[in-house]
Amino acid sequence: MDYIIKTQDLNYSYHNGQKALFDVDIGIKSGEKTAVIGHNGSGKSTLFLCLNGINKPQKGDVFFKGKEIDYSSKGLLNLRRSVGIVFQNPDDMIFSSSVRQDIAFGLLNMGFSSSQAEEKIKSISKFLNLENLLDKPVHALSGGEKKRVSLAGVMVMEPEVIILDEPGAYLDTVNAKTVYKIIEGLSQKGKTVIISSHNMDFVLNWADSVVVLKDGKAVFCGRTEDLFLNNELLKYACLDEPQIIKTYKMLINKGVIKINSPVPKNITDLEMLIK
Amino acid sequence: MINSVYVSEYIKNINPNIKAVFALSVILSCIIFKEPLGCIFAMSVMWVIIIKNCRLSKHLICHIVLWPILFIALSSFMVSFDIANYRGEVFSLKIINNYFLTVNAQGIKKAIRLFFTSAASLSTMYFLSFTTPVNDIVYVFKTIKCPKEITELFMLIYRFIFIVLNMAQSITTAQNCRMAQRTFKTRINAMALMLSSVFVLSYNKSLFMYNAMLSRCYSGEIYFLNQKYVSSRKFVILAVFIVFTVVLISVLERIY
Ligand SMILES: Nc1ncnc2c1ncn2[C@@H]1O[C@H](COP(=O)(O)OP(=O)(O)OP(=O)(O)O)[C@@H](O)[C@H]1O
Ligand SMILES: [Mg+2]
Repeated sequence: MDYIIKTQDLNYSYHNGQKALFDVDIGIKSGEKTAVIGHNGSGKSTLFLCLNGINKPQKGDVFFKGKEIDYSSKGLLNLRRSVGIVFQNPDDMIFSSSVRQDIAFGLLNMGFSSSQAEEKIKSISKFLNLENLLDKPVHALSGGEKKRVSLAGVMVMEPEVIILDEPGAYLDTVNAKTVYKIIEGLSQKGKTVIISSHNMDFVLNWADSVVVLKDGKAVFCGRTEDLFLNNELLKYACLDEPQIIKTYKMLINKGVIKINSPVPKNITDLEMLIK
Repeated sequence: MINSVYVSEYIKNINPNIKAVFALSVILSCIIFKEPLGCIFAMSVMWVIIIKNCRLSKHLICHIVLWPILFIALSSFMVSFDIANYRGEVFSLKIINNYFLTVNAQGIKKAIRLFFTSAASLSTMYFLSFTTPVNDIVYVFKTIKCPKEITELFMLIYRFIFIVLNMAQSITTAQNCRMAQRTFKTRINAMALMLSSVFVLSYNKSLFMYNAMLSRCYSGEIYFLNQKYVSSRKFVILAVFIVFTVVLISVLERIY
């Protein structure tokens, strides 16, 4: 199969005994856009840390490209070159004194020389519009700027899989749009992108497939349309129905559109259907 | 605050080692000679450099100059006092029997010297901290072959200070929004709560930060970007000239 990441019976509990993941079985396809959704405390962030080898599951396995994760320090370094993760809170991610130094952190760890790193930093900062922040100390950045810096620090390492924990958090609409555009660019480059989000309209529009977590269990892993048409599951997992889907169902009920017409992902799709 | 001021490219790009050596020799010559005129000269030169190269607001200057100067003045003033069993030349106050709190010409001289020496050293430190970002200080650490552990520790602590300060500030603000300042008792209570939660939170934060470092291939050593600096000959000559002048003025002052 072309699953780039797969988990099997994944169980993880924190040191204080808090069980966070129960028997999680999911598969993420290479090059796809996957959204992980679930209520607060459902275990999304915990799952992400397992995929990157930071949380070592007490039971079960994580497979990367068909191979079990090797938890030796060398194996982990290799895994982390290929699977990058951007944390929910940018303050946790930024620890150097200047922006330039922080973006360089991963690159230098990967063994790039200073001049090679400089080169890459230059191009990523152009891409993320960070050029005039490079020499700023990190504590003098705004929340949105920090988020972009934390993105840059991971993107510059060019991992095959990029995991983003709530990329829209802390951002105003303009900056959120920029970040979503950047994410779109990543998938166009053929990267596998995994996102957690609480914004169902965004998930419907963006994701190819969805993983739904509830109380640490994976209750769904499949196509986005299938999830959002399944009312019972949505209710069970405490998720909202996207506005577009609500409208779509209403229009079917009123006989405006045909029963088996394709599920719209956004306003434009819906407009096309009505026409 | 100090890091968010604008600094001219010219002075920022000068090799930090040169700046550090310059600042250190000025401070040393002030401390060794302790001659007020030399110190005044050093002080004025530093402020000319700072004001010419950094865009500081008047408000900030007042803030960073006034309080330390006040503090230094006060402590120097205290030094001029002496307790002796004879009457002072300038001022004396009987404490008990034969003992007086006195001020002598000697004491005043000492206080003046102390005041100017500290003020000059302080100005020089301001020069260094305004013109040298932290990364450059890391560079200085590296050139003097400071152990890697200390350099890394310095960098992480530097970052952590701001995180903890931010945390303390936002918690205090949140408490004040909920009437923590109402009475003395609630204030003390809120402060204790704030301190303990900052303690726990910063522990948590450090775990998160460690995870973030791991996820970006950290394996026990932090590498730093090499920086390109210019060794401006003009600045070196200027620096040597300034140090020389400070020494010269002090020596002349001492002779006469
Ligand atoms: N460091 C920790 N120590 C102990 N328990 C933790 C820790 N981090 C998370 N948990 C617990 O594990 C469970 C899953 O948390 P997790 O952070 O993975 O949720 P989440 O889905 O990311 O939530 P959110 O949407 O709020 O980000 C929660 O019950 C939480 O209380
Ligand atoms: Mg989370």
